Amino acid sequence: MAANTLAAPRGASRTAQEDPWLVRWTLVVSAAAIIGLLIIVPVVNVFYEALAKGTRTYWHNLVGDPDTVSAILLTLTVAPVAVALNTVFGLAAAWAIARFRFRGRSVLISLIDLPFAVSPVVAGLIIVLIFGLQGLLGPWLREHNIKIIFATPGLILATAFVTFPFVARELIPLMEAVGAEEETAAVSLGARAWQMFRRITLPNVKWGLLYGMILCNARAMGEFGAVYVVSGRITGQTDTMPLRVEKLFQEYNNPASFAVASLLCSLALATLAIKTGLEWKTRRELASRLREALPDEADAAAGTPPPAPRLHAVRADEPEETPQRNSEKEEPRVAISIRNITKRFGDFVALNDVSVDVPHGSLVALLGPSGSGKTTLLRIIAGLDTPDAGSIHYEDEDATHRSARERNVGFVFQHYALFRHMSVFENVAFGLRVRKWKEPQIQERVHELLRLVQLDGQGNQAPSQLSGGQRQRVALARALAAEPRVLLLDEPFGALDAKVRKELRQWLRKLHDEIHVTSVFVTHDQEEAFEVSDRVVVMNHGRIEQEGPPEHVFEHPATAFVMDFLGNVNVFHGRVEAGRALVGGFDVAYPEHPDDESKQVKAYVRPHELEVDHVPHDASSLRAEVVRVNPAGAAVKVELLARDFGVPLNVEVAQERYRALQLRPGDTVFVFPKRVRVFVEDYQI
Amino acid sequence: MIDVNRRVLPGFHLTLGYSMLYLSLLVLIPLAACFLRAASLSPSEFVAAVWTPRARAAYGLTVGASFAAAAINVPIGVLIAWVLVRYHFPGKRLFDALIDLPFALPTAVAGLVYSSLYVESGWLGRFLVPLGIQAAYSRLAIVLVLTFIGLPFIVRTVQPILEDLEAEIEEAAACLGATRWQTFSRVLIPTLLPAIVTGFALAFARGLGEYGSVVFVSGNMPFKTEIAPVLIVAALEGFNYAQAAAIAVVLLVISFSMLVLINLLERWSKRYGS
Repeated sequence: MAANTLAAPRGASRTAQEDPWLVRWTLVVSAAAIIGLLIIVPVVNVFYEALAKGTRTYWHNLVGDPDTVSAILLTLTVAPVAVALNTVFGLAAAWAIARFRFRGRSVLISLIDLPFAVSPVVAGLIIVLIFGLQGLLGPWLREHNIKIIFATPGLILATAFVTFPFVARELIPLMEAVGAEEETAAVSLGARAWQMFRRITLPNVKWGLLYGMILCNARAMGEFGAVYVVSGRITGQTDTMPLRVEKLFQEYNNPASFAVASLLCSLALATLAIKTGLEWKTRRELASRLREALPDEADAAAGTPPPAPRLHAVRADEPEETPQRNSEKEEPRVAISIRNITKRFGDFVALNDVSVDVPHGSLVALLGPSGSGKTTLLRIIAGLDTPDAGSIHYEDEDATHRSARERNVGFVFQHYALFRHMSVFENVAFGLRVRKWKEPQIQERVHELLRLVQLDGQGNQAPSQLSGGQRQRVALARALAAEPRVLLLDEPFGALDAKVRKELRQWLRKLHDEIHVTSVFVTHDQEEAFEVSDRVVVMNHGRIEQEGPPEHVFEHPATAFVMDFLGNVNVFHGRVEAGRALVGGFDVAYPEHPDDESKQVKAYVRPHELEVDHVPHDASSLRAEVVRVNPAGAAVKVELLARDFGVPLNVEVAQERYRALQLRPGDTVFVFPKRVRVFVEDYQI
Repeated sequence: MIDVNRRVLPGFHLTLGYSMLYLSLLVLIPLAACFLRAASLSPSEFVAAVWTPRARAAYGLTVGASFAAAAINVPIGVLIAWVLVRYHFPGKRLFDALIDLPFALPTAVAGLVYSSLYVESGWLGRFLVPLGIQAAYSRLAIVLVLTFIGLPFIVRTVQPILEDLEAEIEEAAACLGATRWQTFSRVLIPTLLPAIVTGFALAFARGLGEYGSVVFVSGNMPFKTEIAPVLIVAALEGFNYAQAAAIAVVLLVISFSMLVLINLLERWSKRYGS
């Protein structure tokens, strides 16, 4: 279920890829007309002409003529032998090529394709040149009374030559895609070569093998040119079905010619039907193989917590601070106003009545786990998706129904989406060229931007020559080129490695301080969001859990979800009753719940909010044993185990305090919280 | 991993040896024999054999008709690939499967039915012949049937590239202010160009060697509708093996150059790959 809901947005149509219905309709009708004229009409015509004189004549044309019958039988002899020969070769070649690396491997691959480049007539000719009377082996064959040319063996050779590559070409990529792991495992488990082949290799490639054989067979039965040359066209002896079609055509016996042709045409149609089925089957098997190999992202998301309990209370000790500390100040100008946006993908609600304002010139982070709706929201702001309900305003202008093109936003994609065929310079210039800027201005602006992203001098390079971090900077310069009203970034650092990621996000912060373009970026990394942004919007299950300046969200998480998501926190389960909260051995005042009725709660204490001592302080101390001490870092990280409750605890102790306490694994200590955040678990349905 | 594999997995020498043997016996040695046979002619005899006015006309027709058919297939192929990848419509899967029919249909059948469709009494000829369009037993007929034969190549090279194209590319272009047409002409077509060129080359190469379908529709009139492979058959029927081999060498050289060209194109198209 989780997998379905997450897959939904990806399968949905993309606004930017949609064409007007008139264009769509015209193109589909033209394509259908071409396919109809070139393919469907001829196929129908074959059967029409074959059956024009009635089914009785049709039947008579096929079985009443002994020469036609012998042609059908000959084709049924030649094709299977050629297919069998090429199948054995295909398996051998695919095994050698897909499983091993050796000198000349790429030459061998090219040589396999060689017969495709040889005209069938030439293929026939070369066989005649070797085995014919005047050929290289001709005299010897004659002496030993072996007949190859103008006989079945020659037909088989010619057919095998022409259909040579089919099986191998099908198997090589398939075997490479399947990989050698299973076979290596089988060998390591003691399988011998033949056992491995029969039990592992063959079952893994069987559909692809069959597919190659079917194609090979279709081509073998239909081969004309090569067979024409080697057969000598002796009626009733060396005529295959296609040759018989030609001979009857030359004899102006059209109905008979079309009768044989209709058989071949049926063969082609059957081949296509089987091919379509097999293609579908191999694709499904490969896909399931891939799915097994990569643990689905959706599984991870399925583990996200259920709708979060609402905030009811805070702190054990300090008096509460007013959370709305900006309320007194002057309201900043709003650049983007998102009102009551709802978006569904099928049954999955990606965004549920979301409203948020983006202040002018600010850098806002949309933070949340995968599937929380943050990317969908960003795409709706950009105009790449359309909301089912709600509106988007850019300053005072309603932009809900404007296309992405008209909104003038800069969008930076996680995987850069650079235009591969353009240089770095042209990528950045693209937005200016489509706006018909003059060349000198383009030159000036692009160089200015390349300087800004520190890539001046690399304008002539192709995107593929750059590192990931450089590519993302090109994408940023490209997005900024046409002076967008807002800059939108979708997991901009998601595809980069940890070090580059860190550098780039500090750089982005600095850049933003210089150019002050209103920016929104999506991330699932809370550290990134907190380090870079002016405001954080925490999202979960299509709703906004909390928004505010980073330090406020960190200090005053509004919900248990936010607390959990920010991570690195000790969680206690317990209950509240009669103005007290009893959680994991702590007993703290909780005046928000004066009732006697007991309620389930979760309590959170951050590692630096726990104090450690050798002696108990009051009733609210928890006895614990030191498990491990990590003194590296600004604060000493201590792992404790509260044996009475079976609760592991993470505590951070200042270096001086650590030296004063002299903590060692095995010591018994007392822990008491400086601050506890309690969330009543509401079970609202 | 390279050497490890050879020590771990069995059958390397056997399968490689068999592949090389079969390849040599069936393909390489016969091809070499053809060159050998052609080499038995002196240079002047060779030129006399392959460069007759009739042969020149046939080469010209073969190359010209193949080129024209492949060129016609470019817009057709891109259109069909686009429609199959981007739109949903009834019968789409059937159309998709039918695209491969020219691969699977014996060329003799294609030739037979194309010749019968476009003669004066044929289903399509009865409309075209009164308009003065002779699409049977003419050069047009050759181009038409080669268009049929080459149809799948461009569709099948462009289609997977179009399918794998990230939607982000078009979204990026739209965000940057490009209209749909600008996106198509400046971003999509250049991205698809290598695949289009490869498909064109494949269709062209296939046309050069095609025999079965063309002999049905062309009428095989020397200097008018005779293609190069017909010359080989004619030489063989006159037991002039050396001349047949010489013309075959000319065709092989053209085909191999095409093969090299296709490989270069594929390498070129991968130059921007990441």
